[in-house]
Amino acid sequence: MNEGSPCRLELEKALRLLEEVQEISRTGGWEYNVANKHITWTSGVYRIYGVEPDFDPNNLDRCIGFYDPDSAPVIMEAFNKTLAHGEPYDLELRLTRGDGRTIWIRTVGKATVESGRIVRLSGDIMDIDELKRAQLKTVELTAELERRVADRTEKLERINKDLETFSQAISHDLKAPLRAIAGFSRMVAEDYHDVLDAEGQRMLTVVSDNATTLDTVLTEILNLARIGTTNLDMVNLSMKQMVVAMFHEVATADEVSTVHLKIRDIPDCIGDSILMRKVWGNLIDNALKFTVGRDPRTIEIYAQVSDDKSTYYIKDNGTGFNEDYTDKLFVPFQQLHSRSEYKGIGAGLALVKRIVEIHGGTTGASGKNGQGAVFWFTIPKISRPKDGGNPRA
Amino acid sequence: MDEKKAVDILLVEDNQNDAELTLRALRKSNITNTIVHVHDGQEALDYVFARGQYKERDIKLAPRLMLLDLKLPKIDGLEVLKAVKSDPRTKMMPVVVLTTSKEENDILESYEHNANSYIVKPVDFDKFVNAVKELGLYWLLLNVMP
Repeated sequence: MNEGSPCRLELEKALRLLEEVQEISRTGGWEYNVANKHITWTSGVYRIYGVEPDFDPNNLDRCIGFYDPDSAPVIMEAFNKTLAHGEPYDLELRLTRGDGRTIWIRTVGKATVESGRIVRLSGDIMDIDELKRAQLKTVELTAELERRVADRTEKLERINKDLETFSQAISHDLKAPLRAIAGFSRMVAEDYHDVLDAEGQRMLTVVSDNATTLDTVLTEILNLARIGTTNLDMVNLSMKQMVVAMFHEVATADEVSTVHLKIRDIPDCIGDSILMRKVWGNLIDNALKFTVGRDPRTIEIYAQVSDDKSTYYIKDNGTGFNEDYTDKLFVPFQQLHSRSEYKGIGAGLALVKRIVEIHGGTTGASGKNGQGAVFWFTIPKISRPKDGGNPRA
Repeated sequence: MDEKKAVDILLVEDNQNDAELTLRALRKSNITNTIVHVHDGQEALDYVFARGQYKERDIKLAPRLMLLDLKLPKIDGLEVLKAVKSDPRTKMMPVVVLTTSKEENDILESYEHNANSYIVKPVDFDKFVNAVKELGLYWLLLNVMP
């Protein structure tokens, strides 16, 4: 081939391209001639091993010596198998380059068979260090993340268990003495009626009333604690029917006949029946409490429907609340009104919030001192009944 | 007490205060039938199956109603319930679980073992009296047994 001939120019062009490709992709090719046991490397292999171009690849011991103690036997075995049986290999190994830097490489080898005999092995070697390290880091981080999730889950399960035990302790160990306090003070009042003057009777009433108040508080705490461990049974709920039912459950007979309850056309929703009854029960109870003394007492229930959710409103003409404290309304143990006016710890709205949140919705309120209040909550339309949930019309 | 006559109510209750409240509530409701009060699960089973200190009792004269607390010393209330409801001689006896616990599991397990009712003892005395009165009227007067 003459220098400058078109053929030679084409070849130089191809070699230049090969050189560029090897450099960009950090790869190199090699060949082993079975007949004369001669090894040839392309320039990319020298670059990956980090050796000068005068390095002799035919020094097999030195070549293997680049590999880590773990990797060396692997490449040896793979190479020998290809040489003996033509079995190809594709491995990811670690080697320490001529400059002392340890990198991950991928090495691929295969045999060329001519007339039933293996005449040549060839393959390529790729510097995959960055990729491999990123991959290993991901694996490590994933494992770390899984470990943390497992730790946290275990911790949460333990806390949940503790909470359950605590709830049971409250139920059993605190309620029985309370019942005795309430009951026995009443028994004293009954049995010693003649001996006690009005003041003595009043004091005993204070005792039993306080026992009853404490019972209400305990029940509220327990209800709130139990929500977290409830399994939802999602069904189609007729909200209108539920509102009517809960109003009759919560209101006294007198309130049923005097309170103006206006229910606009409100849509059904998908939710847990028991929990949703608690939502309405608490909101209606709330509206009833704060409209005491108004004439007339009105409670209005309406809804707004958008593509993805329904927003239910309950509006009353009661005492309202200072708008600065809206955030505190839904937090348990925070009461805007003095305890003597209303029994309980104000966990009702906290319960409403928790229930709405586990349905995927949000809660809110607006009001002004003395000008009534509007409480609202949203229920997403997309929440589907879970498996086993029986949609009810 | 006449050993030959069936008692009306067997009250199984370890808490002396609760027992006193229950007995008073029964009296207040004019349920003055014969009542036997036992204090733990072992004594309850001895009474029902005429064993131990109750071996002279005629086992055929089953109480007309058992009021059973769940948290009992020696033998747990659920165990008592299981034993009573799985024995052909006593399984017809109505058992009302009368307890402090509102735990879902206790309620479920009680009904699984064929409790006839499950009543949570109210803290409020008036409600307590009412609950006892209603269950007494129902099980001793309204309910018809075979």
